[in-house]
Amino acid sequence: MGIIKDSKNASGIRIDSLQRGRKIVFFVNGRYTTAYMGETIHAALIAAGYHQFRKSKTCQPRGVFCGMGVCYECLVTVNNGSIQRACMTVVEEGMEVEIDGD
Amino acid sequence: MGIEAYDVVIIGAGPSGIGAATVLAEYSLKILLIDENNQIGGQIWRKPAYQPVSRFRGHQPPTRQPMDLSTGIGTDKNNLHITTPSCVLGVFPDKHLLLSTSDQGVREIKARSIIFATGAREKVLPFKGWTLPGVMTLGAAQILLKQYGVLASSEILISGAGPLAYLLSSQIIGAGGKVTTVLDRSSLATMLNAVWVMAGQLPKIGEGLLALGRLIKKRVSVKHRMQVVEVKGKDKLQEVIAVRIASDGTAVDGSQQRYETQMLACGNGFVPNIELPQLTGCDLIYAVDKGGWIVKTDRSMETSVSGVFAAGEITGIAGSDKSLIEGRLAALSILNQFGKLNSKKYRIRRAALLNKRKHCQRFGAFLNRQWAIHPREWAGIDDAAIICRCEDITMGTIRGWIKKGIRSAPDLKRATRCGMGICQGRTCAPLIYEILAACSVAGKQEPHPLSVRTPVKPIPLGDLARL
Ligand SMILES: Cc1cc2nc3c(=O)[nH]c(=O)nc-3n(C[C@H](O)[C@H](O)[C@H](O)COP(=O)(O)OP(=O)(O)OC[C@H]3O[C@@H](n4cnc5c(N)ncnc54)[C@H](O)[C@@H]3O)c2cc1C
Ligand code: FES
Repeated sequence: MGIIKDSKNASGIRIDSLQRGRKIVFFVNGRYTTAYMGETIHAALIAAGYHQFRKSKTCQPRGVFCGMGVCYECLVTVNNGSIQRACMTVVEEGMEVEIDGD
Repeated sequence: MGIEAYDVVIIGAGPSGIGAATVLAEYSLKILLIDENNQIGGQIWRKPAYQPVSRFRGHQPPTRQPMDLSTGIGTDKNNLHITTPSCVLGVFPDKHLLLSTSDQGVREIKARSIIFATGAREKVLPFKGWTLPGVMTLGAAQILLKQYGVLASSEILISGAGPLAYLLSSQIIGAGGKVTTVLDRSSLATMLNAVWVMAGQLPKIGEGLLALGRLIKKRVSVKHRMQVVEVKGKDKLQEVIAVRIASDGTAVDGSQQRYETQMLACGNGFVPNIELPQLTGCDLIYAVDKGGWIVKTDRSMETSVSGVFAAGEITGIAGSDKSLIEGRLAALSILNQFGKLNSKKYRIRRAALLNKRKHCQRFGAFLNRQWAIHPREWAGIDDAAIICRCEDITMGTIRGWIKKGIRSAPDLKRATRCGMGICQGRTCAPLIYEILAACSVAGKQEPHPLSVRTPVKPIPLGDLARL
């Protein structure tokens, strides 16, 4: 495991009126980041201030677009292997998420 | 192991799928309801990912749904099986299906009857820079808020037409977020007209009034007939440029406005998810006032493939009420075919539902007209704007090929790779149909949908190999 840093300054905001699951930690490019049980990777990333998730064929920055599994713009690498749509994949305790850009 | 068999398999658990399931579950039939999302409910009945809901005012409790989704469905009816998150990768005319589940990989199942209830996705008129992180669909911002309680940014600019732009604005404000401006493509007159069309649909008017009230209270500026034409930013959105569009589809001179913002949510209407029925061989028709390519059905919701039904947004965009009605219609027709409902009862119940559907269809036609984008605007998309986001194909490239004589979407795909990427044309295909129509010499465009293949959604290779 790389150096553990706190998550970045969040620009996305978790509203406090929604009841959430248990607080968990996962890693974004090795950085220690918090999430809540039941959240998808894309919600946790945006809440933590990450917007660029990957680069396109011609190396342009991309992030969440449709948010519902249609566009595949939100692809991230999960646990060193499988490539998943961040908006359709639930984040898990200790999960290692790799994004291209931050 | 033998192939698992069901009497009815329903693909999609939105209002149409749930409407069908609740009718069918009353009879001794083995039913499977499948949805790709973790929760059932479809687009409209999305619930917070974590239950129970508390004081979250942005979330509208589903008042008109047929039963309590969190407890009712599937528990007392043990003939109704629900599988989520599970994606249907292919459906074949002999009613065999390929299903990808999170726990069992890819497996094959079969059914006596199938109901497609796959709903719709959003459509966005492309502009220069729309691929920048920070630009998302209205639905994406809504899902983040409704399901996960996440505001994509402390301030959001909203652009689009139709109820979703206002609904989202209202939900953001209700949740304590800030909407800086609403750029509404339609005119004020169209908006007022909506009230008349919605007469008889009181809950919708109520929602609309609540939304407007919130916008007025927060002094959110609403600008009509505005369309985003370019966004700028290095790795992330910083600036949005919009112009006023005249009724002939041209930009009004001197109307350009600039907005600084980190988040833009935009949408220009919905497109039916017709890929699975298309793969099965169901006939499609192109109907502009219904949202583009739709699945053709008869009055009993049966498609051109016998025993295969379609319900909801995929037979024409018109919102949740129509979806619910059509789901029930499809279910009744299946019951009749299976001999579980006599013809007289069937005809009476069907006539009542068809009658209700007429009102919804009128509302749908109005919505689709409101969303309609002038061909000049499609033709006027900046050459630098990307159309196919997967393959990074620009409007300039596409325009070039149309000038060289390409007339159909499949030909354009072969020439440019447009629609060949990982999303399999879901984002760009509806745009290409409009661009081809707008840029081709009148009457020369050939309406053909892009072809589809199994799997309709990419899956890890290991899963297919295991089959
Ligand atoms: C992004 C978006 C947001 C919307 N928000 C609202 C709103 O707030 N209020 C409102 O009144 N209307 C909203 N609508 C309109 C909406 O289409 C209708 O209200 C209603 O949800 C339509 O019901 P349906 O059953 O036809 O489709 P949907 O509700 O869309 O349900 C279709 C279901 O099929 C599933 N599905 C599709 N393909 C597959 C597959 N291959 N395998 C497995 N499952 C699959 C999907 O996951 C989805 O859950 C929204 C539409 C969109 C696209
Ligand atoms: S954001 Fe489109 S698939 Fe995830």
